[in-house]
Amino acid sequence: MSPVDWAVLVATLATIVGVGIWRTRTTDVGEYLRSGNTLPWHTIGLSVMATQASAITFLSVPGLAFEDGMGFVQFYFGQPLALIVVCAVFVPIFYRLNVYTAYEYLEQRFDVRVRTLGALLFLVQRGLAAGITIYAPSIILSTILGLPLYVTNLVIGLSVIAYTVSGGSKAVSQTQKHQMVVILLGMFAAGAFLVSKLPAGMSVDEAAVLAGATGRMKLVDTALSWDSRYNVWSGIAGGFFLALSYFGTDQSQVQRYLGGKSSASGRMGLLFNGMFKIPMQFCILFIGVLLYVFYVFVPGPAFFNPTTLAEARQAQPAQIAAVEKKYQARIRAREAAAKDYLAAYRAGGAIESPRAAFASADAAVKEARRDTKQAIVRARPGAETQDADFVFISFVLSMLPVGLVGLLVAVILSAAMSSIASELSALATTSSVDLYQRLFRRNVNGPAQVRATKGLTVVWGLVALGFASVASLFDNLIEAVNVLGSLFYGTVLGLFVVAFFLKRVGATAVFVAALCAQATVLVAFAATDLGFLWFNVIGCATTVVLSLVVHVVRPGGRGDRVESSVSPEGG
Amino acid sequence: MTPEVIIASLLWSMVHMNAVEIQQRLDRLLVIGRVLYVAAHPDDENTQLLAYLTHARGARTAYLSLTRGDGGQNLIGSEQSPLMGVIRTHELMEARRIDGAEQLFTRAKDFGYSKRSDEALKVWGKDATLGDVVWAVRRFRPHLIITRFPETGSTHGHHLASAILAREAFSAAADESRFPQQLKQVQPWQAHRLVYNVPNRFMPKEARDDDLIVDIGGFDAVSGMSHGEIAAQSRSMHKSQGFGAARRFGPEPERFRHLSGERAKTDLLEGVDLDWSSLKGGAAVKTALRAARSGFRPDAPGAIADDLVKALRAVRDVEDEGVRSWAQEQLGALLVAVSGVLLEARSETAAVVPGGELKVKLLALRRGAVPIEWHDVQIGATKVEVASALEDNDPVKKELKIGVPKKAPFSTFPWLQKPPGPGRYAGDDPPEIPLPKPSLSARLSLTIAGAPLSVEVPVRHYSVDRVQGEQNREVEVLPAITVTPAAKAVLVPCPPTTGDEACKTKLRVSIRARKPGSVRVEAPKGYAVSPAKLDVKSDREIELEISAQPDAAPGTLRLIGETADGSSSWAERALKHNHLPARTVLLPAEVRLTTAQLRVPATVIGHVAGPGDEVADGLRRIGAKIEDIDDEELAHGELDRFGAILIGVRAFNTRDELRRHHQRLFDFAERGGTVLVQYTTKPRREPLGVPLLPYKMDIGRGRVTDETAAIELLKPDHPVFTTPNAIGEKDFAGWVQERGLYFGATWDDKTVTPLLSLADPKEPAEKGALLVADHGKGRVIYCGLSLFRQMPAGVPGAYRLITNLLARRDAAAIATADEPPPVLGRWRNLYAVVIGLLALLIAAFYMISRRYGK
Repeated sequence: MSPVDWAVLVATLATIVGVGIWRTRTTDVGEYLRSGNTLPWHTIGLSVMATQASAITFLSVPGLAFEDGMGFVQFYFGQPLALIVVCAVFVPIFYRLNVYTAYEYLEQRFDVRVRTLGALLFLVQRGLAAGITIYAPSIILSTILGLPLYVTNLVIGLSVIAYTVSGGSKAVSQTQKHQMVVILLGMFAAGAFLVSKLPAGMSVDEAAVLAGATGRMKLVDTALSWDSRYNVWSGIAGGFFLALSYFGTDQSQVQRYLGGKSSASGRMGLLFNGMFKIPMQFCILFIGVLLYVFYVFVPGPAFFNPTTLAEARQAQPAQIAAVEKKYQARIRAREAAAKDYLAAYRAGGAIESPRAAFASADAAVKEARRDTKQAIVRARPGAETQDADFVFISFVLSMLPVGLVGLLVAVILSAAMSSIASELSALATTSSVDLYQRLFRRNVNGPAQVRATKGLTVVWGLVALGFASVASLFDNLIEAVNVLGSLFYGTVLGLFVVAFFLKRVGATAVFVAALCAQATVLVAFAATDLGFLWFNVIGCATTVVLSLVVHVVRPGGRGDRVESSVSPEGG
Repeated sequence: MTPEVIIASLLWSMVHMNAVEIQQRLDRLLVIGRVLYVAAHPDDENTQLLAYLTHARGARTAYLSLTRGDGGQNLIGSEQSPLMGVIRTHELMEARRIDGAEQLFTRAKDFGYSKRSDEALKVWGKDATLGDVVWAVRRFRPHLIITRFPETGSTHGHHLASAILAREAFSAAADESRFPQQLKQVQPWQAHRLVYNVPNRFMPKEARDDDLIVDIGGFDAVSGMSHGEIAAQSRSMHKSQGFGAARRFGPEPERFRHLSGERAKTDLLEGVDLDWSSLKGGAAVKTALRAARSGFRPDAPGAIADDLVKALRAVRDVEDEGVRSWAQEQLGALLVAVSGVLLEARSETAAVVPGGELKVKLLALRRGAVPIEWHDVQIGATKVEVASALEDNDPVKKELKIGVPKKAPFSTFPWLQKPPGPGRYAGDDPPEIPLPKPSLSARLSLTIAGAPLSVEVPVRHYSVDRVQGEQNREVEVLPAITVTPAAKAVLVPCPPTTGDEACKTKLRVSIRARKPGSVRVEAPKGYAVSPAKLDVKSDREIELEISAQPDAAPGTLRLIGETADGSSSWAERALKHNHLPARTVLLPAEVRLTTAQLRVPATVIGHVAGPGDEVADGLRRIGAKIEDIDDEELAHGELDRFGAILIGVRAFNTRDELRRHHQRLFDFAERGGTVLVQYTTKPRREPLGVPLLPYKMDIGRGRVTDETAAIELLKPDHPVFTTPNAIGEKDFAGWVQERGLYFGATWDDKTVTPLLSLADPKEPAEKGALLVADHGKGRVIYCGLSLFRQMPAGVPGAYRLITNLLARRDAAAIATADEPPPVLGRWRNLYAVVIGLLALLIAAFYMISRRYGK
């Protein structure tokens, strides 16, 4: 990166963080934990969007489209429906009960045991995920920028901790608004740049025609098939449940929309996401498609992780040079086929055979890339051959003009920081409100409560940082965290489904059911080879069904509120 | 043969008397003088004077209460209006059992506090009510009439009116030209004199030299109690009014002011013929009664049976018809009592439906030496011969299976059968009768000591309670199905203010028939109710969802229960109070519906319940989240989970823990909460002992009783009048009974802000009805407005106002949960747009896939 880029990067980030810290210093509990119920709906909308979109979104989604096409967009089809349910059912209740956390509602609906269970399940799962949210972009940036991992870790981690601690939830939302603006600007610039760099006279339509020949423009798959990764049905059904549990029960999201001026702002913010998430995802994916078309005409590397490639070259120079040569040849063949196909398309004549020729040339390039990866593994056993996450960032660094590079790196860092900030804020709020104060010190209020939450934010920040710095020890860490998440998400969603929709089921029934469901999930995980996404369904369904069974067998559960730990000083 | 004497079932309590009661009855029977005491409400009567007249003077004494006290406040439950009237009627009956007087009523309704007699007389209908008083005088034929109140002054308008009506009735009752239609059944009557029993609390200011002073503080050796002790027991029956009283002993000078008739110089009853010998044909009665009195021995009461029979025979020759029938009944009951016979009619069920069957087990048991023959028994149309001479301590049983006619009337209270007017109950029955006859009674023909008697024994249901012992209650004829709404009026919030939640209210369905039935609702125009019809197999609760169109006019929701035997529209309420007989009250099954645009409180509201009001229930119905705060929680619980705390009516008077921990409420307010204190009474004897606001404020006795009194908003821009609902004049329209009571009297101007100014006609303005004190980050409000009457009556303004009173000071920040969206009007529309957009996107993506795909 050039000095100009560094300047742009540092200036952008410093401004965002500085404004976040300066404008939101506070000692008011309501403000610290819940943004003081002052935020307008557009701030909430951007904040919810920024929380959901992590750095990984901007790093890997274009790579995904580059590699396989835009079918991934179907994964978000269920989200608007889930957001409507959250708006209609969850938000009014959370606001009416004036809660700080989603789990507080569980106590008002059931009792303190269920609340504690929900909060603990969230903390375990989110605490681990927060480490990954720091680690994943750090490792990519450190690879690309050539900085040691701990530096990127610390820069990202410490700056987030700084403004989250100083300004709490409100700082998170305010910062996220600016981060989101930078993100959208940056992505727009990247897209505009790509369009301008298409070969002379080539329209966006023609780019899509080219990509379409390789199947990359297959946005919607209506075939009802259990094998295909994404189709419209699994997208609507699966995406619905995932989004429902994420937006309805995950405190890092709940905290975002509870900060609204009124429940209306929270609802509007969520519905705004319901409308714009899919178009935004479409645009990011289309950037990946444009990237593909760009690399049809501009030769790109055979492998996009430069560090790994360099290491492999060093180990087995001859073998790697061979596969790279083959790759370059096939790239040129593909370019020629592409030009033929485009000429036929423009002439308006028969396009079937040039189209098929281009598709097979593209398949040949893919094969060459596969060969390259195999060669790398042979040269460096154990190396990570997934390079899709590096496609976009390597393009940014190698192709974009000076200045824009800095902005785009700022985009990625902003995305990373916005997610981490939400998570830290949510972790601290939950552990402060639901555990520390509720179970140990019931009568903390005002400044003392803010102090406690600040301390907990630092603690969680350090935990996440620590976890991020040892994360490289685990190979398949992202999947591990996803698995861990799925192990707990289902049970938590089950708790809330019972709370909202089975009004007669009481505390004891749901508590027993949730414990049994969690045990069932853990046993199933240990004893079977079930795909991990299924644990969401099992956990949720078991909690719901079992609580109904317990309720019927042992009626009157709602009356048995357990008043715990009434403080001895009676105040 | 001796003519048959009928002992009506209403005299039932007299046929089983102990020796003390028998002797008191005998003493009273020897005196024929009658006294009528007139006042306005149950609890107005001077119970010690009644005890003095019945016990020391043996006079037949009655209390004519113009109203049944249905407008009173209820300290022992949530019953209001008609139910309150039933409770207080029963309380009067229990009081009279103790002091030995009789009880009479008129049809006037207690419509609530009134400051002037002309208002009271106007609402009651002066002529109609005077007619009822005249009727009572002509029926009871008192020699002496006593009023309790002055005709002018600062007391309750009902009180003043009672004195006016008694004075006018004193002469009107004797005037043949007044109320001549009554003369078909009664004769004109001129009482000997009319006096005013000047209340002691007016002394010595109101004392006059020519007042007659009588010491009523004597000792009744037979019962072993001073009159003041009897009076205290009798007065303590007014439990719903919190009138438990202490015993009094020693001299009790009572003051009487002459109003009309012959002036009394030394004694109230002076110049009145008290003795039987003054009546034509009375001398023989007197002889027989004297013999009975002197021969009475507590260990052998039956020994005077023959003397009583002689008196019964002699009474036939007394010319005065009123005295004759009264004496016959009394003598007959005494004869049954001294014979010691036990008479019972037992039913296994406590209720029966018209067209239903009932098994009645009859029991007659002779206990003593008086010869008794039991000839037959009749219930309704079913008659069974018995023809048995009872032996000592040898029970004779008989079982009857009776069919209750399909057309049999239900066990109702006559004055509740038709909807009342604003000031007067409907109904043509003799208005003075306090309670209806039992629906089912067995008539037993007996001959006791040679005298043929017919005794009506009410059919009762007996049960045993493990704590209270044996209980019994009258068997009632009740509808096969009743539908009882939880609220008699429901306010239905209407769009665009409440989001998507419907107003909910509950119905309780009771089925007494064996066959299943159904419930149907008829909604008034502008309201939608679901379910509209529902089949019911057994007793259950139904939840109705009601929605209203904006500005739908108030209407009546009719609830109809249907069974194979036809449909009916009755609701029922069980009266269960330890000091009163258990009863069922039937009321019309309807719910008054009103509507308002309002915002439901967004936060959880803590409720410190008082002795009974329905404010919290009203808030719950419109979807507010209310949690009761118990004593434990008042002392230790976390209050900050509430947005506001609502203190029930008079909770400060009745809950010790609330008084003890009131500082916690102020602290809660200081941290940002809202505390709403509803009206609290200022105890007469001892002060409340705790402040109701965190700053100086004292409640007084200020009240505004005109429910239409104009109201001025002193600070129309105050958040209480703007957030979340905009409160204006229209919110004070349509109120019922009164504006409010126990207003603040003095307060600290710097910290406490009065928000309302209102006044009764011709009176100075009251500014203490609504006082707000900002405290720390929150506020404490004292509200003397009678929201507790308005909300059960469905008054829209009361709901809109209380929502504001419960808002937090930071309400602007935490707006309501059901705020409409900034665009498109309703959330549903916005959801439709999102779904539409999703469909559009999927369609567009599908087109793109087709266009560029293979």
